[in-house]
Amino acid sequence: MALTQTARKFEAELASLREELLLMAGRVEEMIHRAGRALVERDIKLAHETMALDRAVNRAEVEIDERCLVILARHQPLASDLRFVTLAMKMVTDLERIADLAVNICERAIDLSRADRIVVHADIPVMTRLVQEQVAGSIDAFVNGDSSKAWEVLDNDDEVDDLYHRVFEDSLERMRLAPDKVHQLIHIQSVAKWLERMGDHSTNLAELVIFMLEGRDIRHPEHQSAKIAGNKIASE
Amino acid sequence: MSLGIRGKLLLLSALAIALLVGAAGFFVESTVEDTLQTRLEHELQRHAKAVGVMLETAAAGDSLDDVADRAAEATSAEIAIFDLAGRTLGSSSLAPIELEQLGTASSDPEVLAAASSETSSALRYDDARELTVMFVARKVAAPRGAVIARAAAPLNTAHARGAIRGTAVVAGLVGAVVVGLLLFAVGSQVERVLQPVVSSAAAVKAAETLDGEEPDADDGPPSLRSVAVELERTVGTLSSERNQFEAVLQTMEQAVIVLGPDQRISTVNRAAHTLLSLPERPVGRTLLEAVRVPRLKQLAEEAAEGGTHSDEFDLPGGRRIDARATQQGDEGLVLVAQDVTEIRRLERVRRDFVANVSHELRTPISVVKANTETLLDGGLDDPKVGRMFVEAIHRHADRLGRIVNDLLDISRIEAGRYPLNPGRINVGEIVDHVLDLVEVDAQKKKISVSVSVEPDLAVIADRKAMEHILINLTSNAFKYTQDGGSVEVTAFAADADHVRIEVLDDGPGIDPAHRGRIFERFFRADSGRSRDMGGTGLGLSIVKHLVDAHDGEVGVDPRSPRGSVFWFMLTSDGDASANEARVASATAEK
Repeated sequence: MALTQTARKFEAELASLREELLLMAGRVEEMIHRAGRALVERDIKLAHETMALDRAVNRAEVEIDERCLVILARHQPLASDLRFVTLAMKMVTDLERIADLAVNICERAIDLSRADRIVVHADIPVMTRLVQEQVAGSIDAFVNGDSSKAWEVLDNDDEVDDLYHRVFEDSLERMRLAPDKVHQLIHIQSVAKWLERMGDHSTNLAELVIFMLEGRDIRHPEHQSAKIAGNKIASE
Repeated sequence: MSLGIRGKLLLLSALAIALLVGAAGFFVESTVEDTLQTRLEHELQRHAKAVGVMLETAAAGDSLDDVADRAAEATSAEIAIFDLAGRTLGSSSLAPIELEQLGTASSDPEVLAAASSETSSALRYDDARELTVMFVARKVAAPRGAVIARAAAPLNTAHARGAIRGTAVVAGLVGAVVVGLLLFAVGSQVERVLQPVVSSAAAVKAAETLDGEEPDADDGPPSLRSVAVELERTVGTLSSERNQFEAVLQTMEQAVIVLGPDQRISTVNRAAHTLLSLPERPVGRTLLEAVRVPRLKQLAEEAAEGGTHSDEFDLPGGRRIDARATQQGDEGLVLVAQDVTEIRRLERVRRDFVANVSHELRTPISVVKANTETLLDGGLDDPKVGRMFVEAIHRHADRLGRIVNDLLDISRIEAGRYPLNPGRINVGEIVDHVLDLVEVDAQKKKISVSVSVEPDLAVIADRKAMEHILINLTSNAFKYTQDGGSVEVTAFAADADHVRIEVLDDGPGIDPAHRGRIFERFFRADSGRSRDMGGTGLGLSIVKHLVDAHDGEVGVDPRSPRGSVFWFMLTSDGDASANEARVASATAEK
């Protein structure tokens, strides 16, 4: 009986950890969307509001980490539960980084709306939407236990990278045509770079989800084969 | 006639007991008869053997008949002695005289069988005595050769049978009484349990008016039957109400999510799927698992404290929703969300229009007013200064006139009163004609203009409207292109039925955020600058209205690395196969 009670408590703790993680992910998705809007709409108020959301995300990172440690210490979870808890600890780090990058974009949005008017590169909103979809895709894969969705996120990362390179090339060209706008164009180029970084973090998330669901680590395949070989030798 | 439950039970058990006792009696009877028969046979065998012994020890003068009589006396059985041919030599049941009269040999089967096989037995019914008699014949040695000794005795089973039957009847009666008592006790118990059910069923029947329908007596007690009918009807009503509720819920434009007491989704409608992009099977999930929108979760949490709470916010996909959450006691929580994106956009358009139109009209009017005041205050006396003021008045009156004309054009197109006479228009020709009209603006800014129109391309359109569209788009392009820049006009078959005409500039481009609004009346991406350029803020709006009036499409795309592409598509006039061939060759070239 005592065992059942402990098990039930453990289940409840995992469920509430999951909810907190989803809430944090939802906030981060919202921040990406708002940062993108603040930039193209030159909306300083929206930029400030979005930056304020970062505090909640930082707090969530600390709280979720702590919750995970408590669960590890109290219940010593095994197998998929253990993978879930360690995944949560890693996911919050990536989510928090993405939020930080969104804050950076908001800062640039404020700078740009104060400077001379400049047209934001048309691909920036496309990148923002893609990155937002990538993060949402990783989290959806996590919620639905659907590793195919996570693989899709990994496949789509190239699209974000391609857009970044295009924005980079176009910005260079525009700098050449309008040297007086170099300052603003550099800001826009940085925004593209941060969006590209967000895309990378979303692929990290997807890899973690694949690890949780399939139990195999697909990060850095070159080291993976070495590790597997090492394990083989050790087992022999 | 009905028997009632207890009567039926009693009758059934009486029948069962009778059958049981009858079967048992029959079995016992036959067993006892078998046993009696076997015992009698053994006994008669012994008697026949005894006759043999008596024959061996008999005195020389004793006749066989005497021996038979003596043996019968000793064994209390009927004894007869035959020779091997079956002739009767002695019998305890016959007097010596009768014996002598008995001329023929015995035809009794046991006697004949015993002559050949040592011993034999038979059962025969004696008509005279009215009973079954058992005969056992045995070949025995006698001083004067072997003879057959036969012992016979009645098989008296009637007594045993009577005893058995008596016992069975007594046992049956005792059983019936015991079962009857037991049934009575159990029946009372069952009646006590069923009584409330029956009476409440009767009460339900009394309370309900059964629209004249009499329950069928064969299907059970009338009250229970009516309860069944009522239940069926209630279930039917409930399910049809549920279906109606489901239909209403599913056709609602508002998104509805119902959370159960366990904080998990219990119901959603189709609109919720569309508006909130729910996963395939949202029922059973938590709100955050289905919709990762923190504001919505927060709203649900606030409502859980009690009362109705509402909030308006953007979804990550860009739609704006007005959401409302209400806690329904302990039943759960209802979330209703409405898409207000379009409403808010239209509100903004209307607000901007009112602000813009008054601003646009006020500027020239105040210039005219200030200049006339100056003239009246003595400016008229100085012809040189006077001319300058009058020219300014003229310029602004022109501007006012243009704005009013444009506004009138728009309202005419909107009201469908802009006369359209669609006909075949050669695209290359009309582009050249329009460029002739506006090229002077390009020359002033040293803008190079290039035209690339596929030959023989034609559309179905109103000539005046088409000119209006092209003039507005090209003059915009010249306005926003820097000195020494370039503008390009291209036209090609977009598909078998449509021609796409594009005006490409290398101006500053248009912010992605403004692209959707650029065709609104008085909308200016960069208000100060475009007003400096002398625009009315209505040119693109007129273009959109005219293209819409032709059932065409219009839009603006960014041009890489800078500038914009304004395009519109109209129905082509020309044979579709030629257009298809053009599209195919263009695709192949790419």
